[in-house]
Amino acid sequence: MTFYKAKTIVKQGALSTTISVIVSSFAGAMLNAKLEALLAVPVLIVLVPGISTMAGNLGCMIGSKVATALHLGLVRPKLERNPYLGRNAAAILLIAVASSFYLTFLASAVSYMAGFANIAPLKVLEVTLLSGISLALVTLVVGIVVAFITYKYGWDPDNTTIPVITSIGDVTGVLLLLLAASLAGLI
Amino acid sequence: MFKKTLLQGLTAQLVSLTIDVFAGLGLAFMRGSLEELPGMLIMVPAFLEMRGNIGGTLASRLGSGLHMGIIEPKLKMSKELSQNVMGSFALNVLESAVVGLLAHFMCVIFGFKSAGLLTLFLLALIAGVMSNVILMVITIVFAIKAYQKGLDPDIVMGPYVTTLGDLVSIPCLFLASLVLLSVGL
Repeated sequence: MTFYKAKTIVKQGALSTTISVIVSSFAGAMLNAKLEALLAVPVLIVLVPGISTMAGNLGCMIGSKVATALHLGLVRPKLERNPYLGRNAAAILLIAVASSFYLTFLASAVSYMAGFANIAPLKVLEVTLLSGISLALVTLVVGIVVAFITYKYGWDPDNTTIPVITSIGDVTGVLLLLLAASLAGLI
Repeated sequence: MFKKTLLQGLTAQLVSLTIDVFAGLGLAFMRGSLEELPGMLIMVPAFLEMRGNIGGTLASRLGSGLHMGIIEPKLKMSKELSQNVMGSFALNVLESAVVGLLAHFMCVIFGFKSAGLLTLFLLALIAGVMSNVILMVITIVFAIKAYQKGLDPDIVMGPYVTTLGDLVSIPCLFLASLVLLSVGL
């Protein structure tokens, strides 16, 4: 008898993985709806994995921070002014802004080197900043709300917040990227 | 506190963004395939999500197994390790099929053009098996080597596996699309 069994691994992994690929397929469908426009502006395609990762990373940071704060009693599950949450929210927003600048620089550089259609880096920055900041705000709100609600019901927010945030992260990330790109007049 | 969160969060973020921009570059390079195999773009986020999930759980089990002493820190195929490999592989085949089928169904639901149920199914399956074999070998070798060197695989493997997964998966999707296009599907 082995401790790990292939059958158990498949059984326990199948449900959560299937749910997350279904949710991510909707993100894919949104991209597909704009396929023509994206093909014409390849730098936007370059941004896709980065934005998804950013959504996931920001979500994990917020989720874990709020959960720890609730466990430590630093934060009450109520919507009130809280300096601890405020400082963390500010840090998350700053990370999103810095990441947007970095993503713009790197994506513009590789697109230029690859000889893709030239898009002014300032236009790319407009897209990454708009989508990065709105993504951070959405994840902050969702993260705090999910953590508060589940904590109130006696669940451990460490177990609930991150899966919820990361699975909607792909969809919100792609949606906000496409919105920002159309606001910037790129698609 | 503020400075620490900012610094550590930003460092992790910048490392994964760097790798992901290159994954994105790979995606932009396969525009030809994306155009010729309609529906393929739909499976990209789901495929990456699947890879992250399956790779992440394998790494996490290896970490626990090594810590518990159930998996020996040696590059040798033990029974425990082979159960992990088989489980991960089977789950990957199953979920790749789901990803391929979903891409076609999304096309049907939203009225997009589809390269066809069989083509999208095979595309996900071929790319899934390819990336799974590559990533499983890397994950197992890294986890065992890390443990041998006194590093905690639970801490060092997670971010690695998910970003590396993106970087390996995109070329695998690309290769699979070239295979399918060359046989004229």
